[in-house]
Amino acid sequence: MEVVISQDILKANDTIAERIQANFERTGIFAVNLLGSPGSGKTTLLEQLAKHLSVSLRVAVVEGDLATSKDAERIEKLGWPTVQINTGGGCHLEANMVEKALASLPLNEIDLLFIENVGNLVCTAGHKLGEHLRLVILSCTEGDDKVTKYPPMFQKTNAIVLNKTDLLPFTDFNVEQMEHDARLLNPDVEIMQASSRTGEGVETVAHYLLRKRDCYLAETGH
Amino acid sequence: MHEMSLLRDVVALAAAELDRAGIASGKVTRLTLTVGKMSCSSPEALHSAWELIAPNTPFPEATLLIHEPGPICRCKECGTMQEVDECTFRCPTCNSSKITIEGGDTLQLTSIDCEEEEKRPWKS
Repeated sequence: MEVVISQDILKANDTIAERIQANFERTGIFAVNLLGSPGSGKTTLLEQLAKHLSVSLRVAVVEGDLATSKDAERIEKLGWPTVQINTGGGCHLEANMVEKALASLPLNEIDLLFIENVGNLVCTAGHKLGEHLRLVILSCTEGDDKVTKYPPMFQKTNAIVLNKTDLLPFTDFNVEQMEHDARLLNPDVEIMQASSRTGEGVETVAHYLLRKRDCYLAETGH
Repeated sequence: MHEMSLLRDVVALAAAELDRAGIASGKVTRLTLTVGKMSCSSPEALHSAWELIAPNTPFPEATLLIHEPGPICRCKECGTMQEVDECTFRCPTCNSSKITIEGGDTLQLTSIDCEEEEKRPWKS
C-alpha cells in the first residue's frame, strides 16, 4: 500500500520561519539574511555599513558560526545589539536556532536585523530564516565561476555584492561573465560592487537596503 | 553535510503522517523522497546516512527511494523547454545562452510504502 504524502521535508523549518517573519512584521523589523563563503567579507561589510546605517536606524545582528564569538565581539564594538549562535558542526543556520536567539534581542527597539549565516555557499541557500531579503557576498578572490558552481545560492538571492573590488586588478575575475551567469539564473537579481576594506561602494549597498526597507514598510503598513 | 538533519525531518514528518492515517510505523517498507538537483542535498549522502540511522527510527526496515528531478531550462532562442540533468548555462538543443533556469529545488517526502495491514482500532 502506498500512502501519498507530498509534503516538503523542510516544512517544520519553514513553519518556524513564517512565525519569525510574522513576529518581525508586528514590530516593523526588516530582516536580511547575509550569505557567502567563509572569508568573503560578510562581517567586514557589516562594519562598513554601520557608518551609513547607524545614523538613521537601530540595527541588530544575529551571528552564525560553527564556533567562537569572534564575529559577535567585532559587531558589538559598533554598538549594535548582537547575539551569537554557535552551530557546533552545523553547516547552516536553521529557523529554530534563530528563533531561540531572537529571545535575547530587544525586538521592539530594532529597525533592521542582519542574520549573518554560517560561511557556506551550499545548504544555507535551502533554509528560510524569516528574512525579507537575501544578500550574497561574493569576493573577487573566490573567482567568477562561483555562480555557475553553486547555482542555488545565486538563484535564490535578491542581491549580490561583489566584494574586495580593491583587489580586482590583481585577479582574473571577469565581472561581466559573473553578472551574465547570475542574471541567467536569477533575472531580477541586483548586483552591486563594494570594497569592505576601502569602503568604496558600501554607500550604494546601504542605500539599496534602505530602499528595500522602505518598500517593506509600505507593504506591511508601518 | 546536513543530510542527517534532513532525515530527522523526514522521519518526524513520516511518523506524523502515518499516525494521522492510523498506520503502524513498523510496517513501512519504503520512503520515497524527491530531492531536486538544485536542492543542495546529496542523494548518496542521504542513502549513507539512512543506513546509519534507520535502525534507531520507527522505520528500521524501510528503504529509501530518491527521485532527482533536474531544473527546467527554457530557451528564448529556439523556444524549447526541457528538464536538464544539472544546472546548465547553455540550451542543450541550440547551445544558446539566452535561457532561464527554473525549479529543480524540490525537497519532499513524496510517499510511504507499507505492508498491507488492518487499520488500528479507532480510539475515542
